[in-house]
Amino acid sequence: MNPCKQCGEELPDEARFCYRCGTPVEQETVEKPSTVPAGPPPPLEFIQPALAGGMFLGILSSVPFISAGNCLCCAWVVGGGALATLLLTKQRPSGVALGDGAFVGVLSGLFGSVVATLISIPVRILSARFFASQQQAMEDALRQLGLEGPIRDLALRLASPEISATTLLFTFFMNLLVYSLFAMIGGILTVAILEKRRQAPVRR
Amino acid sequence: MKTKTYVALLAGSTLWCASILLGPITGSSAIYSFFAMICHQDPSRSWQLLGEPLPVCIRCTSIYFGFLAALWLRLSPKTRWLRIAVVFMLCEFVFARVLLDAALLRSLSGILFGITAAPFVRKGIEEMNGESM
Repeated sequence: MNPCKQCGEELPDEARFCYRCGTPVEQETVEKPSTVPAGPPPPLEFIQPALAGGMFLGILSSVPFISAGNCLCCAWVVGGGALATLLLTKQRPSGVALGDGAFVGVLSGLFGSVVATLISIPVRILSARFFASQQQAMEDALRQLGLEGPIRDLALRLASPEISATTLLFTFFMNLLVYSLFAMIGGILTVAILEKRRQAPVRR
Repeated sequence: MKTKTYVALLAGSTLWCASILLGPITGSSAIYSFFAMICHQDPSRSWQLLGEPLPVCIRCTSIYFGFLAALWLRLSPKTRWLRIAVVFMLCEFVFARVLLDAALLRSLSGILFGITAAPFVRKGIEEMNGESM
């Protein structure tokens, strides 16, 4: 029973007008929660955050002196993965999965190793004098160790100031291994610390 | 549940830590050169084995072995502990520069960070490989 707001007459629940004074009865409208489930979150764009993270870690890891930051547990590389993940979370404020952080970290490590290898070419040219002395020291060390054959040739080629396909490939693969691993860890831990993560979708 | 990712991660981490110990045992310059990419290798800040410094510093060694221990123990991820570990390590890093640089503190902060980070890394890689529900 609802009382009429005008005259106070008790009215049944279904009444639309007061049968005594004719005042319309305001029906209480209860908003029902939407039964339509929210759609899937928009797909994430991984490439741009990974490129930004890759540029960050690639440049800082290959510029002489600044690259020494990597002596602190690969700080620049871990930071590049973290930066990529931070940019990724901006696309989805509700949070990303740990797997998304891992994936964007690996991608930024991949891009970073390409950038670092490309930057290493002019760096090697500019610091050829230093590499020349390093090669002499390497030759002396190998002679003392008694190393001969292909291992000695490879070591000398890597220490050589000359830029060859061997040195570039070796630099690239070593960077790829270390950068992908540590940038991935940086990406995962950033998601974990921010704790804006959601359950990973089931992939079948 | 043991996934392929877990087994691979466990094998890789065990190999990683074993190679740290093998550096001074074998005297391999290749091991020292590899770890030079990720650590300063200052002998005064590294533990020694058979009279030779390990290829990574005390903090790095503690992180890697803490990481490996957490994998073997199959610990579950705890966000609060990870945050505490990160803050502790940052505080210890600053504290070491301004007041007291102690190997014990570096070691403790490294072990705590490694232990708390490993379960998240495992879960993250499993999710990336589509193995985690």
